[in-house]
Amino acid sequence: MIWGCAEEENGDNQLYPDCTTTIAPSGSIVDDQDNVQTALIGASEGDIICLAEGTFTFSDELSLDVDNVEIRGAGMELTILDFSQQERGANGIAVTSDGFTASKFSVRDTPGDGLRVTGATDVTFLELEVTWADGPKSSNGAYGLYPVQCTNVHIEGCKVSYASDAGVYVGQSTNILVKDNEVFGNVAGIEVENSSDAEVVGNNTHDNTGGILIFDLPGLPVQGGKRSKVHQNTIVNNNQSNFAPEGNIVGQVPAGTGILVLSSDLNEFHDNTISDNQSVGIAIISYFMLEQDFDPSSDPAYDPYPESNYTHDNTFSNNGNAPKGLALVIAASAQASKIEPMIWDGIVDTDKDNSDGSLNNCFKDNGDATWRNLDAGNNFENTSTDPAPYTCEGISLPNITP
Amino acid sequence: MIRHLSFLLACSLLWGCVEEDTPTGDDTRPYTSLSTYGFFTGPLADLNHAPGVVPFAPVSPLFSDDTGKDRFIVLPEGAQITFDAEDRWVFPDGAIVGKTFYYDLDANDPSAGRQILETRLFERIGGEWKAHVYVWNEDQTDAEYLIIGKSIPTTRVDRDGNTVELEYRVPNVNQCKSCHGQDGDIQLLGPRTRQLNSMLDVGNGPENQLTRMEAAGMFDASLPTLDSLPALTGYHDESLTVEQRARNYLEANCAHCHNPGGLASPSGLKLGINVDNPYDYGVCRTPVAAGSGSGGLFYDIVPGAPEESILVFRMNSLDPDVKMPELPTQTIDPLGLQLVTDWVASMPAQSCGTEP
Repeated sequence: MIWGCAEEENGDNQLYPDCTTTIAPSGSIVDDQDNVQTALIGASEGDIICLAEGTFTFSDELSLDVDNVEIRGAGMELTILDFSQQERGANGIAVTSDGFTASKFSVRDTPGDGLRVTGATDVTFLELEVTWADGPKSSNGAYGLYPVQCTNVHIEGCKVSYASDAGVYVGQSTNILVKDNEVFGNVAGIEVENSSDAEVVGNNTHDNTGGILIFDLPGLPVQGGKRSKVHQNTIVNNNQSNFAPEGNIVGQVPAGTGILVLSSDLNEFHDNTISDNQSVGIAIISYFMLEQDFDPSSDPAYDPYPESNYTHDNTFSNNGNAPKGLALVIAASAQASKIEPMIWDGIVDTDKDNSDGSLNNCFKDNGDATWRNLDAGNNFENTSTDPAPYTCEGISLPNITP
Repeated sequence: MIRHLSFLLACSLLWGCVEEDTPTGDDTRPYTSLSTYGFFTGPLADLNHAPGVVPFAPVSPLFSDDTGKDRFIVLPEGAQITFDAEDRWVFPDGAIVGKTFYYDLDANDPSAGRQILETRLFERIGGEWKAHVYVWNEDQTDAEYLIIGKSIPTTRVDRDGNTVELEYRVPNVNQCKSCHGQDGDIQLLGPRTRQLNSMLDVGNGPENQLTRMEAAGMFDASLPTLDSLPALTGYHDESLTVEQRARNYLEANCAHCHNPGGLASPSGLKLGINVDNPYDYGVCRTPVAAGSGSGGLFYDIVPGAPEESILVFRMNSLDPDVKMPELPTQTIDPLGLQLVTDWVASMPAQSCGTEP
């Protein structure tokens, strides 16, 4: 192992005073791979493994399975993990241990996903960058930051761009905070999928195909994602053409989507700035809109209908002016060339009792933003722009402490 | 404070003080050298099992880039395995299960010799399995403990007479969990009832492996009758239906990840042999997070149409972000691919729905 250049003032060889070990780039892909992977295998609980300034290159996935370890770099612009020559492994970094923290480094050009954490409790990503040098391309890895089946997830101050599925993706997890990140140039900027009790706040999501996706999908071990509090985000100009590899559900998100809610219930969207998304500001739709022939009996645990979502106090401007893809189909259904910034597909589950209206998706106090109920379940026959029946109050969600 | 820190820095450079189980020589396990364990008599490369080193072979093995394998179980004196018909056997502390990987230099000529690559051990300590990996030297006289993994160039002649070159990858010890991980723990894949309820000739003619192990006193109770116990059938068996062979293959090569407790649990795709719902094993199922792995296709299995099925596409790829399995192999298994292709082709044609 080679010591990095440390700060002069504290007089030791560590990048930070609390580093257990500091590794510097070696200039050799074989040595970088060995040095870093050996440190991760040999780590003890509580270790802080520091990566000095410079570029590390890797040929294989890096894996970590020791609890309570932090990997920390010198800064997302200073410590670069270059996976452009990766030959084996579906992720840049794969973690299966609890109490994991990653901070202050950049993950670049992974063939697969950037940083995946599976089945862990207490996951923290701070000030990380994940990106692909060639810009938006189908051959880029699918996810930038990828915690899945985790509890207590904290993603803050990160910058993720050009993922061919979602930049920041949180799947089948609970108790999640996604805060103050910048996500751009991805197909989906931020995606919360089959997850519950999430707070997505203060993020700058721009120039993605779709800014923020709150999805609940069938066929997964964790069902019934709900209670995402999405607020105070800037969701602007998400007009990147969709470059997801064909065959992925995210490939159906029309370019120009601000927020897309798919089948998920009890989410709250408030105080967001949603502008210049050329297809739609916020669309709340059921799974039937993406998979017309979906047979609900194939997954009896799944509820494809989005219910009890509450959209309020958002600022919409200049959305839906040049709809693409599915949004264009929607516009055509209304015999229009533009669509309203707030859309609900109008497909309801007639087997459920909604006599108290609690299943309604409510829209309130969104300035002068217009709204449409597509009535897509009836071939758009009774499509309506009268918001009155759905001007109601819904759930008020708490902030999340991961 | 600084002096303490320097000690930690210096310490992390030396093997002795990083991990309590790092080899410090050949008096504590894991030993630096494989020979120290005494698993074999005579030249190590002959792989002659010493007394008490019990051979076994799963009837439906992992492909593992077509390597030959020698497997064994060693139990401490007086210690026994607690048998289970369906689930994992419980091994006593001190048990070691080992697997040596090698290539025959010429698949059609055993006298051409072998290149022995690595021996992987699982040692039972404190009720858990601990992985140790040993890489064989070029002289084939011994193997050395290595945690970091290694590439070994190999050249051989395969069954079809083709010269095949492969940069074989010995895994690092973290990678063991990517196949052996189940619900956060490590599990064995080979030594279980359904794999060993089968015939094997270890020198005394073909014998049922469970019967042989019971006769050797390895279990702490008498076994139920064999025909009451689950048994996989080898997917090489051409007398079986293509569905039986394909599902045996998927059980043995995929289900350890693709089951509710395995590493591919987030996908929801379940490839175990006892999965009954076709949607669960991929029929007309839309993948969730396949990325480039979808290959531009829309469903895991389109009945009657292997060329439209993502399952087949991914088994037929070597791209790191497409290939299935993700990590353990570097070549495509032509037999596995053929079985799954034929199985999907044999399914009554069914449209999965309009493509979006």
